[in-house]
Amino acid sequence: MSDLRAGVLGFIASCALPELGPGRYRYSLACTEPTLYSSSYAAMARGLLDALGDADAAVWAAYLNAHQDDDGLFRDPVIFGTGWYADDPLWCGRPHLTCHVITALTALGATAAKEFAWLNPWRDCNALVAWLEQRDWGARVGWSGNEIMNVGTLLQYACDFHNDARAGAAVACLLDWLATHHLDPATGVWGDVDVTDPIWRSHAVQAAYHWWPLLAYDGRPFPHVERALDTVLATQNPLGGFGWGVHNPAEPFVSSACEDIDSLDPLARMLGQTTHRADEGRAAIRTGAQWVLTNQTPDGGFVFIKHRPFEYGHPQLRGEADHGAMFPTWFRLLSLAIADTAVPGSVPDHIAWQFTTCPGMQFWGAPGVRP
Amino acid sequence: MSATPQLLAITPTVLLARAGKGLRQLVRVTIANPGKSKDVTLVAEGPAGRVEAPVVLPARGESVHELFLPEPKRSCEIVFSLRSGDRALDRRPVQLQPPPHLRVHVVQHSHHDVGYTNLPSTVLREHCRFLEDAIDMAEATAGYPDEARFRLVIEQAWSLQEFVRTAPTERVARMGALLRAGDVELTALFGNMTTEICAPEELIRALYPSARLARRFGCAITTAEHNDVPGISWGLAEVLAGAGIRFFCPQLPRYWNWCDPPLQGFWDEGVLFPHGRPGGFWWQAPSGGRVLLWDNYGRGGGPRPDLPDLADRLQALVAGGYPYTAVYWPVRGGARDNSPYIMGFCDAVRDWNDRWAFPRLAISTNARFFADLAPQLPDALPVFGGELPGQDYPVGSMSTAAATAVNRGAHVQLLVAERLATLAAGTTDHAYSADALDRAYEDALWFDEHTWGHHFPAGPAAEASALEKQTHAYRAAALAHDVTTQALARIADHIELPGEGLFLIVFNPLPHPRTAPVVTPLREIENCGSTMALVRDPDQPDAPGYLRGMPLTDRWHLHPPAEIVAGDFDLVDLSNGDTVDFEITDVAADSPLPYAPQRHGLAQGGKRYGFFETPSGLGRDLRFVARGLPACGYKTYQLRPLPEPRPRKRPSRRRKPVIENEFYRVEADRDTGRIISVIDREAKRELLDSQAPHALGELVVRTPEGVLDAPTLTAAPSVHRGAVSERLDLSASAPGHPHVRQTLTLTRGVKRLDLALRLLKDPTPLLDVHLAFPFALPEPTFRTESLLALQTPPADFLPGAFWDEVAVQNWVRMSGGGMSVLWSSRDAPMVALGRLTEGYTSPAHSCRVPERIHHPPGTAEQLQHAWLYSLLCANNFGTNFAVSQTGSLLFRFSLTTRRGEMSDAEAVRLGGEAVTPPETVFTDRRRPGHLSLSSSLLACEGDPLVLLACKHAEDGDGLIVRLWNPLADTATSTVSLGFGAWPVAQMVSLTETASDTAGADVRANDNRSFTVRLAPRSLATVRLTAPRP
Repeated sequence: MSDLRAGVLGFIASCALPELGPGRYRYSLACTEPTLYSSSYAAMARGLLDALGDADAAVWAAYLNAHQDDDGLFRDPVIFGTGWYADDPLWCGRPHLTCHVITALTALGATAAKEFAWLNPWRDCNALVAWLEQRDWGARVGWSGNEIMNVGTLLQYACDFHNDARAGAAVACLLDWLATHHLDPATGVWGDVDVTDPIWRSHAVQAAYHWWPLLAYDGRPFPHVERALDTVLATQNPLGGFGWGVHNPAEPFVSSACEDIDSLDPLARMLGQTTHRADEGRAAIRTGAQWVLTNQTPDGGFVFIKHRPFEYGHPQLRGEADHGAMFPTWFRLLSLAIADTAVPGSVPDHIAWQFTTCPGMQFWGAPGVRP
Repeated sequence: MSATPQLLAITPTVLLARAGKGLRQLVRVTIANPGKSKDVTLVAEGPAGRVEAPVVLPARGESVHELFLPEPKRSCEIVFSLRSGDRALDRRPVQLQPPPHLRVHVVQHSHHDVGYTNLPSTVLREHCRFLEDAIDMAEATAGYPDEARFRLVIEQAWSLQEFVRTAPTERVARMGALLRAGDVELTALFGNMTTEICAPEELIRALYPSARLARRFGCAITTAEHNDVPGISWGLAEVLAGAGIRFFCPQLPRYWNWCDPPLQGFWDEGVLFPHGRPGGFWWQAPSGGRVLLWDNYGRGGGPRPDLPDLADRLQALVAGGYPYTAVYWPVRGGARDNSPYIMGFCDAVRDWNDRWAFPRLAISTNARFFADLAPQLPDALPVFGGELPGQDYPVGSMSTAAATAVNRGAHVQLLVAERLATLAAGTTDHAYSADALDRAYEDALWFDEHTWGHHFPAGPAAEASALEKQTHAYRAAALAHDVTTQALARIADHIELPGEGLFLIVFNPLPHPRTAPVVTPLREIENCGSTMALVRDPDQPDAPGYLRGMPLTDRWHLHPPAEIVAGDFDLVDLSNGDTVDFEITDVAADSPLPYAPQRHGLAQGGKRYGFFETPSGLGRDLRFVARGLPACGYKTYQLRPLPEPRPRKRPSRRRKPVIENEFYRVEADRDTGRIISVIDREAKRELLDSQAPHALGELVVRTPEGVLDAPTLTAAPSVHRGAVSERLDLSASAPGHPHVRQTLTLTRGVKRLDLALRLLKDPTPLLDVHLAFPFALPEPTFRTESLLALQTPPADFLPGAFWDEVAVQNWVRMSGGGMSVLWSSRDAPMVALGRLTEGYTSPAHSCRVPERIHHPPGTAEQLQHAWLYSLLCANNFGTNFAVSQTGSLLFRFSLTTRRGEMSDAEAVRLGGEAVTPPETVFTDRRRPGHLSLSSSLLACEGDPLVLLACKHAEDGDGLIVRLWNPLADTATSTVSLGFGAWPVAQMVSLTETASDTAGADVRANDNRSFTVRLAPRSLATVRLTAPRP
């Protein structure tokens, strides 16, 4: 077994709470309670590493499905309504959790038990467009990125996993609209921000990262892909990561897991769509992967930002400085998997990455394209 | 004389025993019996009934008999009588008062001296062992009644910090449990600090070790101690109040009683404690916050575990009018500083409480005592603000003047280093130097801690103690220099330079733009260490490469080539293309410049190691004036070599010992070397007082008996005139000081007179040395920047305080007759105001108690003259401090003047500039950069605020920016950052913990600026963060 794989699996195992049942995981060794996010990260990361063979997948999936509300969204009672999750915001509340749980369920060979009635307001194209127009396309475009991704991903899932044809039509409506609105042909990214400023460029790329997978899943080409590639390449910093201070203004180049994957993932997908600056793109991915690997800690996990603690909106989702935590472990592992798949050899270890067919983040290719 | 027994005295005690459901008070009755021994009955009758006791009176003498009476609930008359059968022998009515139900808090400490009783390194280990034992004692008494269970107060955080660093994990966890339970109380401060000589940020950092431990163990810090040090900076009140400390119980020794007859105490106890002592007053911080200052006035149980005279001492306390029922009773486990903790007090308390209902004893802590006392404090408890200027410890710090100067320099350099590390990490790939900065601050604190040396200041223990102590100062300075140099080089190396060549980056550490003189060696001073960086062969980039030590992250220091050292270059300000005037000056072995002897020596040598560079540039300084330096920002200068050597000008040497620039004219007497005139050319006014007993820059050397001879000139005064500055050099000798080199410098375009002094001191013991600064300002008023407080002496001193010597931070301002003089000292913190004062070092610390010590505290009358005497050395000490010091010492001062009254705001700005010169680093074009040639990375605009910390947050979440409003008005200022995106700004406590909105409010304006509003004289600690989607 490779060092990377063994380290990650070892860390995930250290966060398991088997005495509470299969699939119960805490967020880090500093946390005490099992959380649904942590369970999802464990399933997704183990799925990527093809390490779910010995898991009691059915019981684990049942545990996840037991937390589905009647409107179809998943709820974690530990974090619901507190911290970031107060008032169940669209960008990080139950819809965000649900996007993770459906990928985890897919990795476990299961499907969300209930249909997503919650999506009703977005199934109508006119209503969907009106809602899109109301998003913040300026300073908080990053938040809009999450909101639209959550809705779009769940619409795609509803279409493909719950056979919801109206949801499928809404996806098409959403992707058509995105291709023609708030998009700068000169930069290939969305938002009314000045991308000549590296910080706002970072904001814009982070926002776009949340929409490009919606396009990729459905096999749609990225609009103005060459300009988009230029913009994303410009986000690489001298350390090899992709942060410029949005998440870590004190040390801008010590980038976060989000900043890194938000550039690495689109770069990897763009390589399949254009030959423009392909060598530079591959080099950037290789360098980026090397940077990501430096974020692994001796416990085998990964950190969100080096040398800094990070609380994911709730004390039970907290990782201490220089200690692994479940979210960055999964997210950085995913960025390595995508980099290594797009540019083989980006990760020194030879790992047979296993992507899912679920919309969201952990797919490769265009699984949403129906024959 | 009657042969009948008589009742001589009836003494109700504080002792109450339980009797059934009620209490009985022990009353002592003294009976005189002039006759034969006899049996009598002692009777007491009162509202609660009658008590009889048979007693046997010894023949012909006095005897004391104890009687337990029902506790009087209110004042009542009790009639005592002596009866023999039916016959009344004597009768005496007594009015009894309800006795107080005293609760005595027996609080065990170990007085924390980092050294003194042994080598500092040994004392650290001893305290670790004491804390180990404390854990066992706490467990051994777990079954005792709660009040008798083992508890202690850790007087200062350094011992617990060392324990936590070195003890096994399991023992640390057990200590953590005791802290959480409140059985072990940790107090707020790192050490018993010599607060007067601490710097503002340093004193705030003295709270950080406790705060870190409290965070780790989940315990609260609510009290502070400051023991053995009868001097307290007013700024400590600001710091304690800002950290949420309510109870401050310094144990202030009465060192001036340690002679016969005793001398006057260090403050006016009658004024401060009108309700008697022990007692307290609200100590009001400059910004208005308050802490209860509790002076226990030496009350306590000492080292005897059986508390032998407790009852009598409590009786005396109550008899003296002590108004509270809560009594603070500090004890220690042995008759020595750094005493161990012992369990014996637990047994004594348990046994006492078995016998007596009151006074009720409890093994206690500061926090428990304060909780008991607080509800009893009268509304009218006095409030005092002000400083208690120490006359022992801060003066004693000048017994090792070189190290004290180094640490004072490190105070400033640490602010600069931390700021630069933050800015470099925010703008480049520089890794923030958290560990080095933490260690440097800790070293600075260790040095300013009150334990200066061994109790016996001669011999190997004294020498080892002194070296251990002084190492802290030098290491703080070295680490600060290391962080500064690395961070500045990183910024410099990321500037987009216009081509190949040698560039000098000049950084202004202050948050406002300024014009400043720059003096930089033409070969950089190396920093502490190096980074092992991967080096690849440029011809074989794919080869594995090897590791090589790099002092500046990925490169070595640059050393300008010979033509640059020779001065054959143009200096070009790249922000505007202007050629800048400069001069190259030689460094002599006795130059009053940092490291002059070493620089001069190394510059004479050949190639270092035989094959490295020739360090001739170390022997030369580049001097120029950097105009318009951006706030916390830099400018780039290019050193462009000339095609031909520059024609050498003959040095201009005036015959008359006069130097001048646009602002001043300074003249010395050719024969004596005395400075006889300093004229402010704008004001057209002579600044020096010709009637003063000492001239400007005159060394005044004293023994305990009197003043020694004045210095004598050893060489004719010499004047050096360059393109940028004029300098007047004076050489003299004085008793105990065989060589004194002094340089006065005037720089063109800069309204400032710099005076630097290199003093070769021989080991003559017992001397004190001052440097005179006599100005001619009629009816002067004085103002000083003290620690976190601008002070007007003596109004801002606590009543009755002595202030023969006071510690100042960046400046002293004297105003009078339409003129103001601002004086700044970079190296020496102590100064006598108004005249050469007698000194008031206590007999406890003095080696010889001088006759002149017999004087009252100073009054405003002392300030009739605008004279200052900077204390350079003090060695009349018999313990703790050094009785002799020797070596080459450097002292630097600056003066500036204004017509009219200089405002506090201007004094704060100019004083800050005087002690914070620009930083420089050479760079060349090594990589494509992204920073512009000139940039401000942080700026404060609006009302003037002092920028203290600019650092990464302790918990890793964002940046911390700490600001101080020294002025008497509310201040509003906008702070802009030239890097990152900081949409959230939040007020937090001084220790970066809880949110805090007292005294200030803050709002983020956009991603790169915030506006803060500060109450007068207050501090604001702002956390800047960025939320993450």
